[in-house]
Amino acid sequence: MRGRLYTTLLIIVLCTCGIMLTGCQLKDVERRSFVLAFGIDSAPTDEGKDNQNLIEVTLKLAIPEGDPSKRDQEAVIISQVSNTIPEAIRLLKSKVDKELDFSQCKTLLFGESYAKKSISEISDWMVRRRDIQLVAYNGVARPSAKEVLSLHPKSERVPAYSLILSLGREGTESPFIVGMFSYNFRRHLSEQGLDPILPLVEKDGEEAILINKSVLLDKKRARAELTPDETRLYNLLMTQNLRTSFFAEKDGVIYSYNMESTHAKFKLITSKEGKTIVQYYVGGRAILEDNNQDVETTGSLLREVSKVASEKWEKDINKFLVKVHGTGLDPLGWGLRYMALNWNNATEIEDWEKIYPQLEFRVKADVEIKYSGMIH
Amino acid sequence: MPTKRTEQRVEEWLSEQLSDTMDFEERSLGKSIKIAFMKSLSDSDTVKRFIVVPSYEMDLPAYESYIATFPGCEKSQDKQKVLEFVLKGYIYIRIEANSYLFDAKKTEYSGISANITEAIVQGPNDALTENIETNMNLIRRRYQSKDLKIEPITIGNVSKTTVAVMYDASRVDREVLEEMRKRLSKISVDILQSAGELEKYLSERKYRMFPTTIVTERPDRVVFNLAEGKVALLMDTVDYAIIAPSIFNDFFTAMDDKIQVPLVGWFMKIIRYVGLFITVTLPAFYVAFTSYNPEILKVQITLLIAGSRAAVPYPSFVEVGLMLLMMEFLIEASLRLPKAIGPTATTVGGLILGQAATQAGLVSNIMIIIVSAVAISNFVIPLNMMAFTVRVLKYFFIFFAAIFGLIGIVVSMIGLIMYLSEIRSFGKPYMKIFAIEGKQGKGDQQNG
Repeated sequence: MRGRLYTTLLIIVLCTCGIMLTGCQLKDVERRSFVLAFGIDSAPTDEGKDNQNLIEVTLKLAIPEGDPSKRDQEAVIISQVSNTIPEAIRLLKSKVDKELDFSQCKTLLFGESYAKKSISEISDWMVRRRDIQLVAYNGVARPSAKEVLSLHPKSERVPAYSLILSLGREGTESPFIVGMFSYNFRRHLSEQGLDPILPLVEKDGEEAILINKSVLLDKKRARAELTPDETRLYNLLMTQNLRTSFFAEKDGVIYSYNMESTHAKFKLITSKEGKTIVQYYVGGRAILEDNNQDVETTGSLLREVSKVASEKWEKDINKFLVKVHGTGLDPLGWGLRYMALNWNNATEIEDWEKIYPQLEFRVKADVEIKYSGMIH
Repeated sequence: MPTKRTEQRVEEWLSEQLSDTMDFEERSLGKSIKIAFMKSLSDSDTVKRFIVVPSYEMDLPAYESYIATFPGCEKSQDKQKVLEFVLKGYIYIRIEANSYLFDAKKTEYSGISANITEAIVQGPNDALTENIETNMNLIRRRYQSKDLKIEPITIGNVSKTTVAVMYDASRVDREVLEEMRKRLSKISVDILQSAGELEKYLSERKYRMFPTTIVTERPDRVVFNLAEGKVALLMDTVDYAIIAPSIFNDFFTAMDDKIQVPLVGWFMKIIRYVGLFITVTLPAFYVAFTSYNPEILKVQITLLIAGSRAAVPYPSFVEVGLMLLMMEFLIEASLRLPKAIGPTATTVGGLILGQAATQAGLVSNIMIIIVSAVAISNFVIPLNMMAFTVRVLKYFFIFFAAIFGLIGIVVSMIGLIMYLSEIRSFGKPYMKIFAIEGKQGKGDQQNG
């Protein structure tokens, strides 16, 4: 009897749920427009008008195709100038016939001029918005997000997918790309002792995008730019086993080698004079790929090339670190390390701010180059 | 001491009871021998050779002792018993003041045929037959142990079906055996015709989703389970045996598993569980992904579903429900149709549902793939009872997916596991992976 009572109760509860839900209409996938990429720019300056705070939101939408055998899918690009992002989106809704759905939006690009002004609004909107997944990729777009999003690379089958593939290193594994997830970006924006860094997505001609630089930001806006080589060094210092190739020059011969494995770590050391030194230890194993003058490879030559390569690394990385330090930013997390190791919550931030300008850098590199397939 | 008079009274009573019956026959052999039997149930050749002919060749005392020495011949004065036995096919013989019941049953049944519902690749192919003695033979031959006990019970006020309770006395779980006897003795029905029916009467609940006893037509499965300490029921006139208690895992065990190389066998078992998961959840996932949570899938798939659904006028759960219903019809139709028209139904149904429906834009392409995947993975389950249960189960999932999306599926999955954990089969937990523990290992016995 009790069992029956429970069953009846369950049925009643379910029916009530069902009745209450009749008001909401199901919006199936075919009634949604999927936003695949989101771009934000400062609105183009318009003479005589006060549009300091106006922004332009650009959305790249996919038109679903039922026929998978078609080469590519059409994209719709819509944009709207407005005061705020939610307002812009509300206005954009009337430009499409379906419900805007941000759940597949995995790239958010900030136009260069916008990023130089302030990015706090977009980053705030991005994390608050329920349907934007925080594993989306962020990047700075040059010349503007709208222009980058309007590109249609030939290799692309799904709109904006090439951005996802390259920014997420799902497709290409370029050492010149700094991938940055939204949640990480947002975290770095508020974290003390670590500043965010974003990849720079450039328009390259009429149909291609180029991602090989990166942008350093402080807690609010873009501040400095890293060249491709510097971006690669950043990746070398921040990630394990970076796949890339370098070259070393010895006796006028250029030897290029490919990294098999890399490692990098740093320590904060206090010198005898009381200065704080950031001591980097980097290294890795590499395979000699070619030299441009047909020099016979021997063990002793390899050791010498390794030495030259290590010295080159030390010089380059030191230069890179000094440049980064010169911007006053901290994308590598030295401050975070300092605060983690110094347990005086009350004063550690002030201490670090005092220490930071006097930071010195030392780099110890150890590259081991080998040679494969030696047949004579 | 019975007298001729009382015996005659029994005889008269008998013919009175069976009057107006075309197949009832009474004969006098000489002055003092009377026989009565049912023509339709008794073997006339036996009657002729062993009863009629010798009666003319022997004198009365010799004939009487001749009859009495037959195995299966009983002496009886109880008229109820006489009637009952005559209705079973025994010959009632009265010699002077003594009456005998002579076993001349004629049973018509199909011979031992190959398995139909539980086909396997390699291994014995005998199926149980409609004759309980043949079945006992099939099982005894595979299980040559003195401990194999067989207890008869008659069920059915009218049908008087013989049910045999089989178990290995040295291995059986006594509690289960007692429970089985108790439940069998409680059954009170007029007609008992199939194993499924008996299974229904044996279960403790009226409303339930999952079969708690295995109904099989494989003697080797019966033997395998007897060795595990389970109880088997054989029914006369039914070519299926019932095995109890059973656990969930039993329904996913094919008799092939024993034959396969261990790793291959495990792979097969995993395949079956994956099939179970797919057939239960796939349509529900489709509903959830198209209507509630498209963000879970990759961009390409989402766009593909959206594109293929572009022309579909109904919400996803209507589409799924419609298609699955069509599939159920197709399965039912091809099952019931005579062999000659069967293929037509599948071809026409497959063509119409698969091709025309998508081209007309009534259902999406993806939907067709899902429905086929669901149908195929459903047939992976080796035991039919479970396959039917699973067929029903997926609609619950679709229902909850249509209301709550992905959360609905997760919750129904949890609910299903809770429900399964609560089920008991003859007092034994249903979700237990190893049915019998503490007894001697499975491997030391039996060859199949």
